[in-house]
Amino acid sequence: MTATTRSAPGEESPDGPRTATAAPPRRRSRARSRALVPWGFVGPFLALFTLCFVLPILYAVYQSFIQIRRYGLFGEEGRETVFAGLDNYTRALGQETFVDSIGRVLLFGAVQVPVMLGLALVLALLLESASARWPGFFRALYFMPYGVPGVVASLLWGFLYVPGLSPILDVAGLVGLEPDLLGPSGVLWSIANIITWMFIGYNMLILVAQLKTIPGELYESARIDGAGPLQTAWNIQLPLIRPALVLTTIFSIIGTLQLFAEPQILAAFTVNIDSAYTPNMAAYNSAFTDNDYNVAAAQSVVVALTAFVLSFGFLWLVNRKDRRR
Amino acid sequence: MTTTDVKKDDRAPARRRRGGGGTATGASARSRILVTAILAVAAVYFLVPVYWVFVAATKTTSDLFDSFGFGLGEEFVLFANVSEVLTYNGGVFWRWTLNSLLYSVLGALLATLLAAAAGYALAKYDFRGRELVFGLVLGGVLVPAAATALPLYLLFSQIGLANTYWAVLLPGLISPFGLYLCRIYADASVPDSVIESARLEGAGEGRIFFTLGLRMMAPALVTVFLFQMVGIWNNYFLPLVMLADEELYPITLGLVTWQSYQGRDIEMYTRVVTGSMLSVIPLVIAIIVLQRYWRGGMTAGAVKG
Amino acid sequence: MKVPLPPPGGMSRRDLVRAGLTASALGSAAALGGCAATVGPAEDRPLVPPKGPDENITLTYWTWWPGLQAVADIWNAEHPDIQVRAVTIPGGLDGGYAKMFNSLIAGNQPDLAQVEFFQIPSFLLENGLEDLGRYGVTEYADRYDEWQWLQASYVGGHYGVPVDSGPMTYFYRADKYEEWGVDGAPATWEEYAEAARRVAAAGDGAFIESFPVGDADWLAAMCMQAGARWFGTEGGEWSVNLVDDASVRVAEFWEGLVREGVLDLTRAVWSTGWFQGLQQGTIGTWTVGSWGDAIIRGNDPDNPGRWKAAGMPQWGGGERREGTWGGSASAVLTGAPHPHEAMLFANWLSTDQRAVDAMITECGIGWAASEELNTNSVRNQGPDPYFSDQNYTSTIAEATGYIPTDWEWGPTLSSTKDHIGDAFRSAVAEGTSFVDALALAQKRTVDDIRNKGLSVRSAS
Repeated sequence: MTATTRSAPGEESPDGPRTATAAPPRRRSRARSRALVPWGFVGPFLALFTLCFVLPILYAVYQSFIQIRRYGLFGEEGRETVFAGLDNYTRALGQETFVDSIGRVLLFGAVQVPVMLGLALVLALLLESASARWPGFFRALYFMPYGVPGVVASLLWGFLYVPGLSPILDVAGLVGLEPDLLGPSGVLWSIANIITWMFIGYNMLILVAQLKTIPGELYESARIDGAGPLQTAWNIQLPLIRPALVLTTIFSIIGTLQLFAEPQILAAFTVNIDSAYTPNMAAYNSAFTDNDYNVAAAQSVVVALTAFVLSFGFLWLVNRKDRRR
Repeated sequence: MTTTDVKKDDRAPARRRRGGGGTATGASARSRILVTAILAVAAVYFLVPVYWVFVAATKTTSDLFDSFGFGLGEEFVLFANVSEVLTYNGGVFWRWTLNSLLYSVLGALLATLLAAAAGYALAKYDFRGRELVFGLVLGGVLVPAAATALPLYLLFSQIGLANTYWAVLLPGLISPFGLYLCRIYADASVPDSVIESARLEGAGEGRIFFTLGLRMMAPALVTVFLFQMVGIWNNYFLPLVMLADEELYPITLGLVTWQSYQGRDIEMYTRVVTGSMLSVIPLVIAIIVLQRYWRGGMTAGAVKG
Repeated sequence: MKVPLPPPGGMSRRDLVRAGLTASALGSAAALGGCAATVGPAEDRPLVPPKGPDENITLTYWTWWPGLQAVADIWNAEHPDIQVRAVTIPGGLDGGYAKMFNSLIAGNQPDLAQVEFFQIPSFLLENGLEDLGRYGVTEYADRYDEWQWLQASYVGGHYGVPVDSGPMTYFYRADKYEEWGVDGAPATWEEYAEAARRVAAAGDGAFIESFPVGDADWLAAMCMQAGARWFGTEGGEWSVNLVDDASVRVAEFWEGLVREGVLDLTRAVWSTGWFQGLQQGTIGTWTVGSWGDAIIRGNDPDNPGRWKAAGMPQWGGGERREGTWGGSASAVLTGAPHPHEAMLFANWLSTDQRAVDAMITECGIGWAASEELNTNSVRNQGPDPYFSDQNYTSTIAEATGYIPTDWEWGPTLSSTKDHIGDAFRSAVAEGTSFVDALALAQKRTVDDIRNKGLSVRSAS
């Protein structure tokens, strides 16, 4: 590197012993520029992060504490922006539909996340077991839905849920089953199916990756101790891939709270998905349909806080168990 | 949060079948059949919607409604349907495909580079504010998209970026998870001694990163790239908020627009179905081919209790 | 923003600090926040002068009709100096209005936008529309049916140029009605109920109609026809009354039919299964704005001669009443650069016979802006083979004489619609009273309007 490029971020000059021999004043400035090096690396990321995350979030928080007052029928006689305290939050939480939507995704998560991760775990263990034929083929196939956009997956499954159109329902009808997949109580689980379908393979892959890091000696000694496949899974594999399970759980919790595209698309197939079906849809609706940015901002903050509490709550729970052990 | 030993994971092809190998010898024919049968049943589940869309794309609109969904219709019009999708409305579907590619491939490339540089710095330099930066960025993972989409739109409008390529591209350049992964991975796989000796040989910090750091982090970078590419390709919410001009749409948004015209034009059904099929092809191929590289550094991302 | 802002009253710096904002964030947030407060009253804004004679301009028109560019091209050929570019956006509440509101805040608004009549007050609430009266639109008022023209008039201003409307029309499968032994379109709701029972009893899984669960547009049209008036602006404040006698009558009637099980509840109107049902004749009717004709035709273009159109069944008691569903206007968004030229184009679009004809064929519009335009349109060139050789333009024309002109829409209608939708969905699912559902929607609507900082009362 030549001196001319020194000012460029991340292009700081050579150093080491040769720097140490430099004159003291020079060394001082060298040390200062040295301290700037990491910022040169972090800078571009941080700048964009600030633009795309930090500023919008601060703005949303600000919006959640103000309101607009109007005079006349439409505000034609004047309007003003006032500080609203927690009023937007009271309003958001006072909306039955919004509270319902939070309850709905919590119920969704409580059922769907364990089911999905359970299935991913089973598939991962089976694929990594000696009994599996063509594991590479199956692994690729299970992972495939991850590449299907949520929008498209919802369109496809949507067609498979409509009575009279769905070949699955046609077949179910032959054996006398008539599930109402788009009915008031069924549709939530139809969405759960779409999410499960898309993400089983993804989670499975994370688990498989961690399974592969388990040293073979452990399996050896388990076998010598006379452990069967189930005991091996329970006593060796599960404890050792716990970090991956924790990671996938947290991602799934966050993903659940942010549900948007799938119910939004499926709403074209049924009346049982309203515009505030999930918290994200409710916030989108408040902001973009009802034009109430302030309540929308409050709703978004509530969703973000819920995500924080649940993720860290989960981590805390896991850690506590650890400590007790 | 700590890391597992990632280096061992990603080298050593000899160990590739290790997990299986360990328990392998005891597998009986019966368990072999049972396990493979279960795997096959699961495979059917994953294939059903994809199979359906490929069949449906061969049908006329009336066959789509009237014939059995898993069987062919009276007429086989796949090629007519495909050419209709590709030429409808001045071939806008091509445009959407190119847009999607631009957003996802270019976005993911730059995102990977940014995340790699930042993650490398967080792992390899001890500086004040390091943990603050890290914590801040990780918190970003938890913020729902709806919370930032509108303010981001307002912000971008102020600086004239709304309804431009930048509006979708720029937010895609930030991958908090990628940064996390890169930091963990760099921690484990770029030894301080290597950096030190490079410095002794007179290499600049930037050069060390670009020649040594990036190479040693490569497995994690592939993962970050793929992760981000799929994420952008599948994104719907951000373009929905940001873009008004059909010319800028990615495929997802374009297909939803078509879907919303279904009521007015029955032929839209076949266009949506065929378009969905076409949109599935490129990424599914990419996924199947690339999944073997995916796990590079994936376990590094594990959160240890 | 191009207009003076009202003072940001009430918000002190201390409040902000208490809200947890740092000083640096304050600067950027306040800059954006000032912008979000949009604009001052329309009358305070200076008039934008017409363009100069040698100036060439391009107007942008946001619409959800993909075919509108073809219509605008007729104008473009004759007006090289005022070119119009149509941009297709999602339908109104499916995201179109969101884009418009966003563009108002961001200051990149189009010159013209397609706005449904019910949405006009919501735009006024945000100061989003130009008063076209200030640009001389009233000069052309006599080209429009009065009942359509008035739908864009509020507090002495005129905020849009009507493009089309949707007089309620009873579309039915004449072939199926014959099979079911139903003697044509019912003249009264009493007869409709009888017919519904008969179809459901036929045992082939068919229904006379899908009940539009939670569809507030449909319900509003039904109540309008029964003589309801949901919103009022007397005395300078809003009044809301979703449970007047007429609305209660409508709610009770449909609740009865739903409980009897003689309406389809699984194939929701607009859903894929419903479109299929219309094709196959397992759903026999659609009571909808006159624009439903294009949708019915588009859904099943290859089978003419199955459908017929009739006026809505009546409530009896002598006096004939009709309702409307939907319809939209060309509106000029506040701050758009060329309001004068935009108004000229909008007027041409709505009243030039070639434009109207092109909109019928390219966009499938409903009832054009005046009876004369409809009578002379391509749609009215003798018997229509698709609708069983019927000449249904005259059927609709007759009905338009009985549409009330005093109906007004509330200022928070998108959420009112959500409230109605939510309340009716759960009433249907849980078997509770439809009238209670209306009352609940009313209560929530009153809250919404109050929350917008406006004065409002319940009128019941």
